Amino acid sequence: MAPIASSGRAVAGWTGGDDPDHAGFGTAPDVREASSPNARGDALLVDRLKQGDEAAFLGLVEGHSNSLRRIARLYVQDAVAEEVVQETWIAVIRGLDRFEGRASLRTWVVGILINIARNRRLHEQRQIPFSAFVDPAAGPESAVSADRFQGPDGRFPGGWISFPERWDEQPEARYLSGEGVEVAHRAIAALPPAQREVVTLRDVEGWPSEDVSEALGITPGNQRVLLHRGRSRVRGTLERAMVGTIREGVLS
Amino acid sequence: MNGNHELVMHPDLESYYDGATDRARIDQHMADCLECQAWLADIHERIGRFACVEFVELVTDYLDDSIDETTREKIEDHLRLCEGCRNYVGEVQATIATIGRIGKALTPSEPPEPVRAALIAAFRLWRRPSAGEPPRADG
Repeated sequence: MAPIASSGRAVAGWTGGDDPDHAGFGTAPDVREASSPNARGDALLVDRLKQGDEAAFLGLVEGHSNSLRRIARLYVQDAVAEEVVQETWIAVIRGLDRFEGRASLRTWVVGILINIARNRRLHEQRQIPFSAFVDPAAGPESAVSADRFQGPDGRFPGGWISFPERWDEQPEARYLSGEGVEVAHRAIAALPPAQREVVTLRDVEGWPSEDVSEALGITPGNQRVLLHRGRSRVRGTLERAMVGTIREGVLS
Repeated sequence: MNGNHELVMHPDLESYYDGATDRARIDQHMADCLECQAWLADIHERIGRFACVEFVELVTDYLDDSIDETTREKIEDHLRLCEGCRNYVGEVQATIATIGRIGKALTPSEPPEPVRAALIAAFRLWRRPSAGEPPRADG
């Protein structure tokens, strides 16, 4: 886990922590700090809810509604997303006694939301282009176009033909500006649905990987593949938006 | 790069293929330095062991720390030698940071008052104190 000395920055074990007030439920996206430290807080909160503590309930609703709405929008149109969030809260109220603390409260709530949203989507399909539900990326896909790498006869086969441009080192972190964020948002909207789900929960909401697998009901391996493909696509879109020309590298 | 003393010191060959490296100068040194010739040959061997095209498919697992130690060492050795892949990791991290701002960029909004009222009513109906379970002993 040592940083790479020559790159001058830590690249290993990245925790997504550059953004202290990261949107979401206030949990840093660090797998090692995932569910367990919150389990006690969850248990206390659930007890208060079971005792009919309205302030605790309102706090839960207000703290999580924006995140729930963003996730619901993965499946249904904005107006319907609002209804899905409301239905979710009703289901949470009615189902509290079934919460066992096996997953975090957040994962449990979002799992309920995703179920409701997926069912609603089946009824709303006429409003959304059919193509939105077809995953064109069923087969293998590469993170970076193969023509960016040297062929078998190159000096270093499989090496970059030209190095990726450091758009992340542009002055004033242009990529973090409204422009870059907008490009990333559109790129995520254009992802195949399964990738969009995982990238949204991991990188928009900042969830740790095991909560994402749990809420979506997928294996950790599947979660990683979908995250990798989705992130790679978004990176490619950002690169195209941020880099005018790619300089010639030296490995060719 | 600066100062004559570098002529008698071995250059850092791990950065030989970095864009900013003055390779002509290093080649001059290497012409008379068998040690550095062997070092560069070793570097070529290390570059040949793990290609950039493989790395870009492992970057997510690498950042998630979900790879075995052998693969991690292979990757970190490669990153020492390859500015292109270091750039690539930087781009992926920048991508993650950019995506992390989307939530804040969207206009937050509280549930409208009628929704709040309806939720509170539902909460009262289903979770009035008498309907709840007794609090857990362990708190």
